[in-house]
Order: sequence, then structure tokens, then C-alpha cells
Amino acid sequence: MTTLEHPVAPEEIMAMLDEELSSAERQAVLQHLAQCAECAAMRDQMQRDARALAAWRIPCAPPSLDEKVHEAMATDTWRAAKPRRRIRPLVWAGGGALAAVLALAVGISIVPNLALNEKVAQHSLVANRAEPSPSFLTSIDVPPERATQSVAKTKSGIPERPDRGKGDADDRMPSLSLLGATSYGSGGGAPAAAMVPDRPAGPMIARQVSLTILVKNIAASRTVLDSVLARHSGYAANLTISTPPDGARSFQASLRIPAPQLEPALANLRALGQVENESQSGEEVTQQHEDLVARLRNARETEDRLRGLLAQRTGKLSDVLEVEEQISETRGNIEQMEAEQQALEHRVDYASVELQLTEQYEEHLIGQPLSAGMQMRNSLVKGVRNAGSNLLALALFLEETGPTILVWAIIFGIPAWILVRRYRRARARL
Amino acid sequence: MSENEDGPRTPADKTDEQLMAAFARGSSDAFNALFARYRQPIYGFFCRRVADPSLAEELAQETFLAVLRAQNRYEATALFRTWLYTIALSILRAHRRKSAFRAIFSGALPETAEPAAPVASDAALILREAVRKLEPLDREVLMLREFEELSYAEIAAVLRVPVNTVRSRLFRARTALRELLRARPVEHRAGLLETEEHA
Repeated sequence: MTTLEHPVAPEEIMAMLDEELSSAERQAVLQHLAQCAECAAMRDQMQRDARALAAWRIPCAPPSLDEKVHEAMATDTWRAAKPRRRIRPLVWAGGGALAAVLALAVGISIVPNLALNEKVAQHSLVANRAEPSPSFLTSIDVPPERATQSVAKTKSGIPERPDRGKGDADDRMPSLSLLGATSYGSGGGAPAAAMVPDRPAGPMIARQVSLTILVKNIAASRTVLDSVLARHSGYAANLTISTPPDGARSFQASLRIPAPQLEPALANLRALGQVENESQSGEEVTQQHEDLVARLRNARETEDRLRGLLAQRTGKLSDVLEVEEQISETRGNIEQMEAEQQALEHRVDYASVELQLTEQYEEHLIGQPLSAGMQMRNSLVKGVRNAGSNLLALALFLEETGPTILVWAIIFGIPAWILVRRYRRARARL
Repeated sequence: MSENEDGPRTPADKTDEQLMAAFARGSSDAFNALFARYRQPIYGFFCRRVADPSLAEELAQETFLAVLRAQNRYEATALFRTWLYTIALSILRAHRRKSAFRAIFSGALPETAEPAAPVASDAALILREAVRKLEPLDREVLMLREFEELSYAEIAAVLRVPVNTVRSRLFRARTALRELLRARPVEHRAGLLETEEHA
């Protein structure tokens, strides 16, 4: 530190003695030393210190050092002993971090692809099932009389097929055998083929359609839907409307539309709004229907034979009761099969349309909008609550894991502290 | 050796950097010249820092072997002497780390010889003991300046500290050393600071 009395610092005097100053600086120091006895004494002390250190002499390097170095040069052993390149810890850390990032990126890219492939597979399966074959679309030739016939509805609201009739049992002469009767008399009357429904030849397809449409207004769309159903002789099997308080309204309906009217009805439904999703599928039930018809025919024939037997009443009373019991059972089976046939034919005659309408959601102002001050106040309250919950979570964490951490810190910390202390002491001595 | 009009030709006339460049090109005579110049200074460097002379010889040998291996990595922009002492210091620190690590488990430092009882003529031991009591950085700055005779800039380059730090640390080290020597009884100073007492 320099003062007015001593403009030259002791370090500068030292640097002058070490010949580390420029010529101008050196001159300034020498000029001051010539005038200041105190600084001159300091200079002399420094020179004595340097001479004292010169007393520390060391022996000459031994000749063995020369021999070893020249030997190493001559044998080129130093070339083989290439120094190991130390990889700095920072490089290790960077490499490890990079490897972790790469692994994470690969994992993120693989997992969604696996899920996507699974979804694609499922979707293609559904699409394959849903997509009607061209042959199916062209094979249905609906006779005009079927397209325009009025459809009566049963009490449950399900349209009823034309009465197929049960055939004229008196025209037939069944055999007397109650068991396994499968044939009529040689002069059999009207065959059971009279009860075969008058269906056109070709496959029987039960069609299902799923349609999701985004509409502007559910109420208006429903009105249009009712008119579409009326126009195409369809009906709604069930309806559901959902009106969440802070979300878009939705409308689900299961429609039944005569198969010939399906395409024009779908065209009308698509016009309700923006179609978001549409899928169609067809299930061929021809074989199922034929089997059912055959079983029904056989059952009716059996019933006819049993009634013929009953009409004769030539057996004992017990036989009569047994025949009546069998007639009752057969009648039950017939009615069950008739219901199945009716339902199956209804599925073919009426396509099933699952319609979902979603209304475009518009935010509604509830009362007056919050002022900026109120919003800030609410944010502050939320922030304080979050801070409180975070502090609580931290306290709970420390309570739960603190004792464990303390135990392990004691177990490992004390030996580590001892080792570190010994290491530092050893370094200080060296 | 004489010079001709084209410049220095003999190894003795060349600078350290020129010799190192020649060695990098494959001249073994250049290395021999460098070795001859620095064998004693490097040996003294280690002798003053480790107690065992054989260990000092071994570390000096390692230093020159490192120079041999690094012949292709020497950059002409750096002073050879600075580079050489940097290598020596690195080897010394590596040795100290290993010894300290071994001392953790053994509890003893094999090369830490017990200092001999101070005698009147044993100035080297007294100075060694006093220097060892200095702070590590102060000690190193002092020794590089007083014994290896490096300039402030060279010391700063070797120790990788600013030049002003070198100056301040050197002044502090000299002052502290003086106080350590003054704290000893006069009969145990081995004649050190003797002229001060008679001043």
C-alpha cells in the first residue's frame, strides 16, 4: 500500500530486486529508495532473505539419472508406454447424459408406434368387417312391392311381418307314429313349403351403421331427424340426450330404417352436420335363417301330426294327455322359433343405425366476467395454497425419509469424513 | 562453439524452443542438449519438494520420459521452460495424490522423513522445514522464483494464476518465511539471518 510518504509499495521494491519492473518503474523506485531510509532498509532485508534461501543447496543429479533416460531413449520404451488419455469426468458425464437422452428418445418413439400398430390392426379389422362387399351392395334387389308396403307395428312398437300362416293342418295326413315322424302320407296335402316366407332369393344381410355427426344445434337436428325417420318409414329404438353444465350437448339414438331406405336416409342424416365418423357393416344371416325356417317347418309338421292323433282319440286317456303335453311343448318351441325368425327378419328388413350427434360447444358467459383485480386475487390465493401444499409435501417427505437418510448418513458419513481428513492431512504434509 | 553467418548451428547455441522443434523432427542430439541443460534444475526441483533423493531421481526420470512422449504435442507458442516445469509439477502432484491416498489406509507417509534435529550448520533442513510451513501456493511461488528462477509471468503460466497473484503471494511468502526463521532460537538458525543480527 502506498502513501504520500511512501509512494512506492514494498511489493514494487521486491519486483525491482527480481528485475520484473520496466525501466521507468525501476527508476522511480530507485529514486525513492535514495531518499527514504525506511524503504532502503526494507530493500536490504529482502536481499538478506534471498541470500538466506541460497543456503539451501542440493546435491548434483546422480549419473544413474542420465543412464536411465538414455537407456529409455535407446530402447524406445517410451514410445510403447503411451500415456493413457484421461477422460475428464465432465466428458463422462456428458456421454452418460447423451446416452440417457438417446435411450429416452428411442423409447418414446417405439412405445407410441407399438400402440399405434395395435390400434391400426384393430381399426383395419373393424374396417374389413364394416366395409360391405360390392357384391353385397348390388345383390339386394328389393321388389317394388316390398319397398312401398306399409309396415304394421306390434304392440311393442316393432313392425310385424306379414302373417305367414301356419299352414292347413287338415290337408295333411301325418303318420300315427309319435316319435321321429318326418314324413307325410303318400297323398300328403299342402306341403310345408307353403309356410316358407315369400322372400326374394339371395343372401340375407343384417346391416349396421354407426354415424357420428357434429351439429350446430341439437334441438334443430332432432326435428330434422324425426322428419327423416318419418319420410323413410324408420323409427328410433331408443334416445339419449346429455347436457353437461360446461360442455357440449350430445344426442345418441338407435335408429331402425328399412333396408331399402337406408342409403337415402343416411344421405339425409349426413346433411345434419359435419360427419366425424362413419362405419358400416353387414352380417349375412342367410344360413341362420334357413336353419330356423327348417326347424320351424319340422316343428309345425310335428304339431300337425300330434293334433291329428289327438283328433282321433282312439288311445287311452293317458295317451291323450301325453299327446296334449307334447303338443303344448311343440307349440312353445314353434312360438319361440317364430319370434327368433321374426327378430332375424326384422334385422334384415331394418338396418340398425347408431347415431351420435355432438353439438358445437360455445362458451357461455356466466354472469359478469371477473375483473382483473379479482383474477389476480384468485391467482394469489391459488398460489398461496399451492405453496402451502408444496411445503406440506416437503415436510411429509422429510418426516418419512428423513430418519432413513440420517441413519445412512451416519453409517457412511463418519468413515468418509475420517478418510477425507486423513487425505487432507497427508496432502498437507507432502 | 562459434556461429557462422547463417546463424547458430550447434545445439549449445540454440534456444530451448529450437531444440525442442528439432527433437520433434527426430533429432536425438537436440533432446540430449535439452536434457543436459535441465537435468540438474529438474532434479533440484524434485529434491526440494520430496525428502527422498531416490524418489526425486525417479520423478525427474518420469519428467524427461514425459517430454519424450509428448514431443509431437509441444506447441512452439509456449516457452519450453514453462512447459517443462508444468510437466514436472503435474508429475509431482500426481505423486502426492497417490501417496496421500495410500496414506489414508496405511496411516504413514513413506517418503516423509522425520526431520533431523536442527543443528547449527544444517541450513537446508531448517529452510526445508520453514518452507513446508508456508501455505501451498505461497510455497510453490517462492520456490519457483528463488530456486527455479522463473519470472513472474512464467510462474503464473505454470501455476495458472494471474501475475498479480504471483507478486502478492511471493511477497507474502517471503515475509512469512522471514518471520518463521526469526521465531527460531538464534542457535538453531544455522547462520541464517546472521547478517541481520549483526546489522
